[in-house]
Amino acid sequence: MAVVRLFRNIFGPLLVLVLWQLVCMSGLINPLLLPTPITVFAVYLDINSLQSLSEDVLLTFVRAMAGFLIGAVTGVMLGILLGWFRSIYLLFEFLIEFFRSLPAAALLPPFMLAFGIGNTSKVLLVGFSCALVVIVHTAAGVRNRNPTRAMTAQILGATRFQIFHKVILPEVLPAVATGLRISISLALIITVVAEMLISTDRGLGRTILDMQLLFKTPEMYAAIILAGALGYAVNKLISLVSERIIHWEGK
Amino acid sequence: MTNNEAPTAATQGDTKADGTFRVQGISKSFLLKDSKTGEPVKRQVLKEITFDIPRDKFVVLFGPNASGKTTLLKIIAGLEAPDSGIIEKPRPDMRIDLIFQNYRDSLFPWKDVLQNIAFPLELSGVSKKERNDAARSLLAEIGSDVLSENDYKKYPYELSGGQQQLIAFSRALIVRPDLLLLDESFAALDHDTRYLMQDVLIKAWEELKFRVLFISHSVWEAVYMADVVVLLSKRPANVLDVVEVPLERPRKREVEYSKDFFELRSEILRVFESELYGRGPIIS
Ligand SMILES: Nc1ncnc2c1ncn2[C@@H]1O[C@H](COP(=O)(O)OP(=O)(O)OP(=O)(O)O)[C@@H](O)[C@H]1O
Ligand SMILES: [Mg+2]
Repeated sequence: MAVVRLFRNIFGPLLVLVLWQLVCMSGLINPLLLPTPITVFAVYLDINSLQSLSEDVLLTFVRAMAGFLIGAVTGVMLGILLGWFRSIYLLFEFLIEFFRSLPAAALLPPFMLAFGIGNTSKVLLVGFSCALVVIVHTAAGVRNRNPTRAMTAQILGATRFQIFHKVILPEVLPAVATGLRISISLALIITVVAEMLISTDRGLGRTILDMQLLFKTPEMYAAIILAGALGYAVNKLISLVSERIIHWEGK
Repeated sequence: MTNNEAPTAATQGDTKADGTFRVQGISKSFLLKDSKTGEPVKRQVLKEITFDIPRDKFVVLFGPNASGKTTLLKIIAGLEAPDSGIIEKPRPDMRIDLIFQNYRDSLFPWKDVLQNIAFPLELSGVSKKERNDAARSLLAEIGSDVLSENDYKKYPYELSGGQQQLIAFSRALIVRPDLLLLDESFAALDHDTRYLMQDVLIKAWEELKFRVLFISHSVWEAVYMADVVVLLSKRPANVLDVVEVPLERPRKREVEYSKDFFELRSEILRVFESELYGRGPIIS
C-alpha cells in the first residue's frame, strides 16, 4: 500500500518534469525563456543562490504570517461579536462583502500612501484581507450553529459565560478553521504581489520579478518552485493542525 | 372526559409527603407567517394542559406529531415561557433536566465519554479527578450493559446510537435531577437497542428515584414503561385522558404478551383514534 501511495504522490510531479525536459530537448523553445529542469534545480546547488533564496523564503514567510496572525486574531474576535449580535452584523454586512469582493491588490497603492513602502503596508494589507475572510466564516459559524448544545448547557446549569466559552467557542472552531485555511493562501498571494509592486526589499515576489527582468530564468523558476513549496507547506500544516484539534468535524 | 377531570388519576398516586409537581393549565401559541399572505397568524399549540408528575410514578406523555410535546417540555424545563398557566413545583430550586429529541446535537463531540458525562460537574468547579470518578461510578451503576470501560475515552461519534443515548442520560443524571424530561429518546434506535435502553432507563429510575416525564410515539413503549400515560390530543393539544398502567414492577418483557397489556394498549388506542378520526381528517 505504501508503495502505491508513494507512486501516486510522485507520479504527477515526475510526469511534469519529464515533459518539461522533453520540451526543452526538442529545441522548440528558446532555452533562455524555458531552461531545463536540471538547470533550474542546479540553482539550489549554488551556495550563494541558495542562501539568497532562503532569505527570500524566510522574508516572505514572515510577512505573510505576520499579516495572517493579525487578520486571524482580529477576524475571530470581530467575527464572534458580529455573529453574536446580528443587528450589528447587518449594519456592516454590505461593507464587509464589498471589501471582501474587492481584489486585495487594488488596495495596495492606498495602503502604500497610508503606511509607506516598507513592511507595514504589506503586512497590514495581508491582515486586512485575512480578517475579512475570517470574520465572514466565524460570524456564519456563530450564527448558524445548532442551538441545542447551548440549550443543553443552560439546562445543566451553565452560566452565560460558561455557555460561551465551553460550548459556543468549540462549536465555532470548524468554521474558524475554514476561514483560516482560506486566509493563509490569501496571505501568501497578497504578500508575493505586494513584494512585486513595492520595489523596496527582497522577498520571493521581488526576486521572481527581478530575475525575470534580468532574464535569469533558472533563478526565476527556482524561486517560483520555492513559493509553491512554501504555500503547500503552510496549507498542509494548517490542515494537519486543524484536523488534530477539530477531530470531530465531518463525523 | 373533560380536561379538569383528566389529571385526577395521576394526582391520587402522589401520596408522598414531598409535594406535587403539577403542570397547571399551560397554554402556548406561536405567531407564524401565513404562507400566502405573509400576515402573522396565531397558532395555538398547547391548550390548558394540566397533569401531575408524581414522585413514584413513571409518567409517559403520548401524543401525535406536532402536537406541541417538545414545546411543553421546554416550558416545564423553563426554557420557554407559557402564555398562561404555571408549573407548580414542590420546591422552587428543583433541578430539572431535559434530554432533547436529537441527542446527537446535544452531546459535545469535542469531549470524550467521561468528559461529556462529567460536564455538569465541570460547570460547578468539581476537580477533574473527582468528576471522572463520579462519571465512572455512575456508568458502572446504570450503563454497564451498554458501555464498557474501553469506551470511556471514546468520542460520541465513535459510538452507537444507544451508547450516545446513555451518555446523554448519564450527563443529566450525574447531578441527580429531581425531574428528568425525555423527548422521544428511543425513537431513532433499532428494536433490540430500544429494548435495552428502555430497561436501562427504568433501572436507573428505580435506583436513583427521580421524577420522570417521558415522551413516546409508541403505544407499546408507553404501556411497557409507564405507570401513568398522559394522552394528548392533536394540535392544539389538550389532555385527552390519563390512563393508569397497573402492571407490576419490575416488569418483564413477557408482560407485553399478557392480556392486561393488550387491553391497556387497546384502551389507549381507542381514546386516541376516536380523537384523531372522530373529528375529521388526521392531518389538519
Ligand atoms: N419557536 C417556534 N416558533 C414557531 N412555531 C413553533 C416554534 N416551536 C414549535 N413551533 C410549532 O409548534 C408546533 C408544535 O411543535 P413541537 O415541536 O412542540 O411538537 P412535537 O409534538 O414535539 O412534534 P414532534 O412529534 O414532531 O416532535 C409545530 O407546529 C411547530 O411548528
Ligand atoms: Mg418534538
